[in-house]
Amino acid sequence: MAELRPLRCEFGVLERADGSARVVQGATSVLAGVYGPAEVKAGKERSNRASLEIVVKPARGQGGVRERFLEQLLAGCCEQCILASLHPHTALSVVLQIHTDQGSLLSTLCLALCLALVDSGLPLSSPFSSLSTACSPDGDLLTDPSLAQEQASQSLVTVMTDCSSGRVISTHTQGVCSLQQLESSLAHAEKAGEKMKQFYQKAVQRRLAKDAKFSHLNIAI
Amino acid sequence: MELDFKALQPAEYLATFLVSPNPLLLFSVGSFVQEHGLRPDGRKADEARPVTVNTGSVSTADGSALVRMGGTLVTCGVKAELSNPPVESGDCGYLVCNVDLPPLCSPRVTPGPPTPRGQSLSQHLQDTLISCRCVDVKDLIVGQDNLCWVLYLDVVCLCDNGNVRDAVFFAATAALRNTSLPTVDVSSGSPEVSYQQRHPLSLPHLPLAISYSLFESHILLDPFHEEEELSSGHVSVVVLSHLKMGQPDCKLIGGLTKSGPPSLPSQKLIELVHRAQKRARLLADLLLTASGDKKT
Repeated sequence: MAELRPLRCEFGVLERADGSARVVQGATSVLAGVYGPAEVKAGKERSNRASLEIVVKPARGQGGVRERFLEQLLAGCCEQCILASLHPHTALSVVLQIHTDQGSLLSTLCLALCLALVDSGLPLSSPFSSLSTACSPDGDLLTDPSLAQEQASQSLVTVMTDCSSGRVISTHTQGVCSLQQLESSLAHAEKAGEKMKQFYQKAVQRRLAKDAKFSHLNIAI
Repeated sequence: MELDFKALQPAEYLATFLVSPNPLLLFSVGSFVQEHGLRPDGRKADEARPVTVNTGSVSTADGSALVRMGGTLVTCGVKAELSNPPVESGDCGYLVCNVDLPPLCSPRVTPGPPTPRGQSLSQHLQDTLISCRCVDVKDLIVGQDNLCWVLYLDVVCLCDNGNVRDAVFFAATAALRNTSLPTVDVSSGSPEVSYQQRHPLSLPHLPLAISYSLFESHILLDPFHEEEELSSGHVSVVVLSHLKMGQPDCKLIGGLTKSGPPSLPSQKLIELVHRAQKRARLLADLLLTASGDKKT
């Protein structure tokens, strides 16, 4: 059984955003805000769909090439779940602020993105989840690694899956891995997707019940 | 009529090509082509364009290559400079990758600051080379004397006819394999560089990228620019090839990147990786033949 770090989320953290969520996974913390569908800048207007903009802000300093790379990855992931053709001639922007990066940053960003979209009430084709898996030099697989585990490992595979069908939306890998490791990372991510779906449902129930903003879960897959 | 159709409804045009039996081909070529799934340039879905590679084509660089994949033309040069190692960890050199997509290469690119596409390609190349230890930056240290090599790997796309990523990776790999560094003698106190005596750069793995475009339900290997523009998603696999008994061995994976719709079942992705490994073997063979390490 693969352990995941404790996962926490909080909805409606930003008053002026149309949807927002803070996700804390282990010691990694990320805040996401969704703005839109709103007026679109000239030149970015698309006649058949909403134009999507994702901004990733690092904990300190200006964003660089790494942040642009994360933005492209997340935009590719988001495009598959937002029904962009429902909102033609509009712009949709998502801002993701990194608070602390203590491992599995990309998957935490992905969860925050999904929960903020859920909070904004935009129709989604399905919720999506994400799981990072690190492979240690001995060949052991570590799901949801911390920063120290990530640095000691020889590869890191992040898979984003569609929670309802279990199909792969996006993947990103770093380092050297074998085909077997890749296969088991994909299988772990699929299993985690089902757990995450339950977590999302629980989180939304809490939000609608208005008794507590926090949703908290210790999960194992 | 065919050209009007292509201009007015490009996506439908491509979709019509990929179905079986192909009405457009029947229309233009007659009943000769009954085969299904031919693309507008006559390839099958899992067929790549011809590849040519020329190494050592830039005499002023320490290593270089020129790669053509179909109509896509990419050149890469490696330049080595001596410098001081980074302060935070004194035991490694530098590798700086830069992929340039100038306005020359395509009407899609306008003059101005580097595009996000170029930036993300640079990042992907640099991440792969460093995280997979294709170039071990620790080997770039010279002597004990606080001296190291900085390798500038500059890739310029001369013509973007689709699938620049594969061409960029292939050119970078070929150029790195072609790179030799001058010998530095540090025994006499002040370092002396001898440009005549050179030693090749050690390159344990050859990273080779193989990309697919996802167009509706079709998966197209090595897309050309029209297919790339109409496709919503792409998958690219980086296969690490190393030499084993003089033959390329392509078991290890250095990257699997999927982005954009539609979503795929994981078995399909694994199948794509298998297919990429097969193609990487061909590309590695080509590289060995081009650099004269393999007699045909």
